[in-house]
Amino acid sequence: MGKALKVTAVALAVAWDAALTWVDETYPAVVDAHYGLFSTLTILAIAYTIFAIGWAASPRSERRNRAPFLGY
Amino acid sequence: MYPSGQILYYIPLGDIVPYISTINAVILALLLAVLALPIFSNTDIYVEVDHKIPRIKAKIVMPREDKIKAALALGSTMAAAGVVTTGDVFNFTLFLSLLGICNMGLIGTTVGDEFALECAFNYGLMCLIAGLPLFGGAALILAGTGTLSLHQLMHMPPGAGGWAMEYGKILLTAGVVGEAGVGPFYAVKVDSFRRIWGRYAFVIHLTTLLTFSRYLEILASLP
Amino acid sequence: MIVIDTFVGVTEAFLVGSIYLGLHRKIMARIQRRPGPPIIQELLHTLKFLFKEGYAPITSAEFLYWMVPVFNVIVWSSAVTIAAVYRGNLLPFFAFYAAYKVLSHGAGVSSGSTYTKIGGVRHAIMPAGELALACSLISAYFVTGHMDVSGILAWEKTHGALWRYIPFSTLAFFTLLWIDSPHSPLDPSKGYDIVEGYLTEYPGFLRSLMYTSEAIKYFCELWVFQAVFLGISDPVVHMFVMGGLTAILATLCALTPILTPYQAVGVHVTVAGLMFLDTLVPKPWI
Repeated sequence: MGKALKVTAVALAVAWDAALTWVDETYPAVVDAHYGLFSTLTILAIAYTIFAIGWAASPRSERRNRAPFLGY
Repeated sequence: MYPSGQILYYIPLGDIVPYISTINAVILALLLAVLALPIFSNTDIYVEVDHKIPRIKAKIVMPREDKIKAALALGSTMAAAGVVTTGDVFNFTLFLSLLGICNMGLIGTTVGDEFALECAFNYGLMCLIAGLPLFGGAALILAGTGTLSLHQLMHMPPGAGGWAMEYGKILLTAGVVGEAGVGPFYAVKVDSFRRIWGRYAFVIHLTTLLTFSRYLEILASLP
Repeated sequence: MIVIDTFVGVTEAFLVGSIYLGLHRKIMARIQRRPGPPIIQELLHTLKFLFKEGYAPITSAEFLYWMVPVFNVIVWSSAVTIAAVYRGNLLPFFAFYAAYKVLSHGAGVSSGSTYTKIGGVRHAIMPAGELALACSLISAYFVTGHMDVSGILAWEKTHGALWRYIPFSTLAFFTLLWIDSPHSPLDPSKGYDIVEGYLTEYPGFLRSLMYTSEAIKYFCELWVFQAVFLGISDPVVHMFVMGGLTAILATLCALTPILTPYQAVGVHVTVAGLMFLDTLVPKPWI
């Protein structure tokens, strides 16, 4: 779980978003013909981008054995 | 505009003619995607707190019980997929009954738990009672219009079928509400969730709710 | 322009939803004689949590636990894209709503804490009534003959707003908005007796994703209500009416005590049952 993985995750997210935007700008007819596919890909891209940014930007610590909240 | 969206694909399966429209595709994708979550995760370990003696109890489902439950969950999923893609009102009611039976089995096979058995009994009673208006509604739709195929029903003019159609729709709604545990009949389904935690409750909940959303599409496409 | 429209629409839904959730909180605080946080607090909260650590407790079912926030964002982004951005068919809205309820149940059962489990079970009880309330959109289809938002809006342009034709269905959908606003008396899964319900165990950026989906959901439901029942298509008017609705919802939420689960579902089903009055009661104003 090093820095490389985090950078890869964010780079993938950025590449995904950029590729979709590029296709949309360059070949609007193709995108309109397959609107279902491209809407799905866009929505997945949004969810993945937020998740990847959150996962990569947040710190890691030793919390693996944390018990759940059992009351005050 | 036709309420079910565009029909994308007809599944070749005799004269039942299941189909995938844009709405069906969304519901089916949601069903399969959300169902993948409990398959890959073990939700059957949980903690309970005894406030007098602080300690953690862990419960793990036994393998034998797990096997039969997995089979029933598979049946429930197949029935839900059938409900979502079917192109025939009678098949819709059949798959819905199968769904009810599988879900009842999922609750009832909990080993060594009387409360779960009682819940399964209540749920079974509800499914049994709801079966009558469910099939009766389908029969009345057939009586009114002469067909049960959704592909023909959705192209009929409004008002076709007369009173039999209207009464059939009301009965069919009552049946679906009973089988899927919506509306005033929720208690029998949800009481069992207090006892069978974990992935099988998740499957029951998912299949019944998505079935109901498919029913709304059928209701909108009836004349 | 589908990709860019979707990006812009979802971002707008998130920002506007967050701001109006903040307004909701502010109005509730003022009614209860507290100063309350600033209006952008919900937005700041979401952004702050995005950069905090997310981790799973030892008893959790990890895959389900990590995926529920992601799926929540996917579900509500899809709903807002289909309904508000493309003004498409309303039938998937039910499926998305049902999936959201199932995912909340999954969030509850996945962590292993008893508090989240009770929250999850309460979330499993609720849709019994809430789906019945969401059926008010079907009444819109029976009146207008259109299931897509653009068709309904075109119908309303010539015939007038739909709430005059189906007032009880409008009431039912407004009740759904009331249930889904924060601190609602009709949603016991947000009661403080179970800490934070299914959200109790979600730390860090996972919680941020949950807040994001909540904001998008709030925007989406208010948008559908305005478009379908009030017949509003202008974006600026949308913003103003959304503020007004938020004020009404906040007032209702601030002044009412919370109900128990079965009482709450009783109220939902009663209001949903009133929808049948739409066909019986004569409407002299049409």
